[in-house]
Amino acid sequence: MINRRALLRAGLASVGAMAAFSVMGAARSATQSSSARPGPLYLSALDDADGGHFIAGFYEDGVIGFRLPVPERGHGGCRRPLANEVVMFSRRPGRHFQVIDFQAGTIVRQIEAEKDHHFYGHGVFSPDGNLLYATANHYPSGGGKILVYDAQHAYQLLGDLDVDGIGPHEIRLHPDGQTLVVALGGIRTHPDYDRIKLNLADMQPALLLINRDSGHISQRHEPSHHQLSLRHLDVSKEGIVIAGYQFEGQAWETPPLIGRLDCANSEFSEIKLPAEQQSKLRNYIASVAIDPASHIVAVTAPRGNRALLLDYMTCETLETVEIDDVAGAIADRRSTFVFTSGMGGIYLNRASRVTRIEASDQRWDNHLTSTRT
Amino acid sequence: MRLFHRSRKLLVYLCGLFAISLSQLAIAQQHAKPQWHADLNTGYEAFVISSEALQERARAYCQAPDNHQVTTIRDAWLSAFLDWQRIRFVDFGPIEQDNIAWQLQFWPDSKNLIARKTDQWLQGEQLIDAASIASDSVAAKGFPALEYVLFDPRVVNAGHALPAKRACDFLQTVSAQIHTNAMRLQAGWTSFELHFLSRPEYVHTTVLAAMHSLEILRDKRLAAPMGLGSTTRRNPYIADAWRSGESLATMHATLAGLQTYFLPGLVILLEERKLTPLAEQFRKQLSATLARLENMPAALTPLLESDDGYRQLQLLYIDVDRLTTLLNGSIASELGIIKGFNSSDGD
Repeated sequence: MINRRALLRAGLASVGAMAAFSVMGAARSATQSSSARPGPLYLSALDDADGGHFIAGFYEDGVIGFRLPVPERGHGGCRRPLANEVVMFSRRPGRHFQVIDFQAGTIVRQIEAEKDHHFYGHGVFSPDGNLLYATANHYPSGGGKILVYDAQHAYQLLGDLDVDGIGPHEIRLHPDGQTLVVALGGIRTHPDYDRIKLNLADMQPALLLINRDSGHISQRHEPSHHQLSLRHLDVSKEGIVIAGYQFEGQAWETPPLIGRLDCANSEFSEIKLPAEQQSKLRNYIASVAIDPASHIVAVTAPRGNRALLLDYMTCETLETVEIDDVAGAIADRRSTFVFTSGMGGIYLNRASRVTRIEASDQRWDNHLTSTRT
Repeated sequence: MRLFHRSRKLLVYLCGLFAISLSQLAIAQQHAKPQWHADLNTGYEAFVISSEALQERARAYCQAPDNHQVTTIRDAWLSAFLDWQRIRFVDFGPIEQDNIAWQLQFWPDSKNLIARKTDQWLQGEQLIDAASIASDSVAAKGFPALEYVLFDPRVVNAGHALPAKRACDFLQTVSAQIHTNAMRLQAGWTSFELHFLSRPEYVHTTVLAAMHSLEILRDKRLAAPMGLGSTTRRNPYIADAWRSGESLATMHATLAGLQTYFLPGLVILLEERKLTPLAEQFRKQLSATLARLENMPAALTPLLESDDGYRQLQLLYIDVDRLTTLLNGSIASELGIIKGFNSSDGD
């Protein structure tokens, strides 16, 4: 009888050699990373099978260049322009971010959140790399903030921007270099209550455009249901924002999970998929990644064990990529995406063909950060 | 050419086997899920009835404290709380709404928020009613807050203990809210039926819920208080229901809930996958673990304080670990169920 277990076993056997190759590669890169081979292309948080938390960097071929232990489970990250640094944030309600020298494969600095604050797991740099903007929660008030750090001076906290709402999550920079694009989740949390969502009945999620100098909120767009929590987003070169939601309502409802904003004309809409396709996403989008070289965006749905590739101009679905517990996504080269899975594995999707290029059982977290500029 | 024919025949044969296995799975899903839905409906109904009794006892006591004993409310509290333990493993469906699980039982409570928040209500001056309690923290709602009022010496021996007006207002409001949530769960479970039965993924979801529940029971509810977790210090205060001395009774109820509301559907699923021996192994190990608990006291603290008691807990731990390993290892593997990482808790 052929069952899923046998298929899995067969699959694992076939990638066994690849796993050995990856481990050898990791050992090699540990000795060569700062000399012969440049730093890894992608960084991600991961947990090992024993629940240990790490930040890892890996190459295009899936070889892991470094794996650095960190005190909390990690989440998202951002590359600092004009420097060999990537900042990686702890997962909500995170107390830290780490500054990583991706060429050396070392943590050069760890910053703790200010008193009464925790991070939401995301940040973005100014174009010159001098300022870091990090989404955070002032938990006594529940008010969402963007904390601004001076990267030139040991990441000292300079101040904050108010987001006029609760739960700012992913943050990106508009191509104009001036506007912060923020997914406002709308969900209140408090460290005393770990990850309990404290206000599901009266959430007010939104997509915000904020001037990073003045703090002025120039656009605010609300999703079609108040329990559609905006979490993740990416911005195209044309200024098109694609946002992914997590629905906090009833499991049997299947509202749209993808928002689209054309920043130029303030047109906000939602991408409605055919009913069957929509329900297979299981009401949760874990990450959004736009290919800067095309009009393709990848959205991942780990509960549905799939990612979708869409044309963000026409809103047409181009492809469904089936990977168990897929969450991390990033555009590699034109029409090629890298995906990672919480059940282990780095995958390449090229020309509608999925190839697993790393075969360990490490649990890759939601997001991939590229070291390319 | 002959090789080609043989290969083709083999392919047809394999396709046939694959089709059979898929159809078997589909049949098993058709049978297991209605069983699970019906059994869990029984569990939710029982919770509605016992939570209503708790609400009624609280009302009767507070209307005429001289005619009733606090012990009658304690008994009703325990009865409803154990009914909740029996269905506590279900972490999908209507329970996902409005943090109902947290509203019913805020746990673990490493910062003693339950006492702090409940004291604010008992000793404050703000109006105690459904709306004001509803707007407060989950720590001041549900069974642990009532347990604090009913059992903790700091309240029971204080001037603001039952039947003081504020304590009575709190008792009646929170017990009514528990009953309301129980009714919401039961009604929601009924509404959930069509969706549950129509979606194949709920087979895995239901088994995963039981797997998760056993892991929590083994690691958090038993091993951690025994000092087998991140610290070696024995600590009864991180167990369930330590104030009432019912920590082991709650574990028994959770396992009994798995036996009554989860096992029959699992057996159908495994038997139809020709995995009857595994079903029988799980059934026996579950019965043995329950039998061991039935010969142990309800409270955890005395067992942690003596060598003999600790040995009993070690034997219980071994039983629970075997049970957990059986479901999360052998059975999950045969069913192709793997715990998600990113899918289990969105962010």
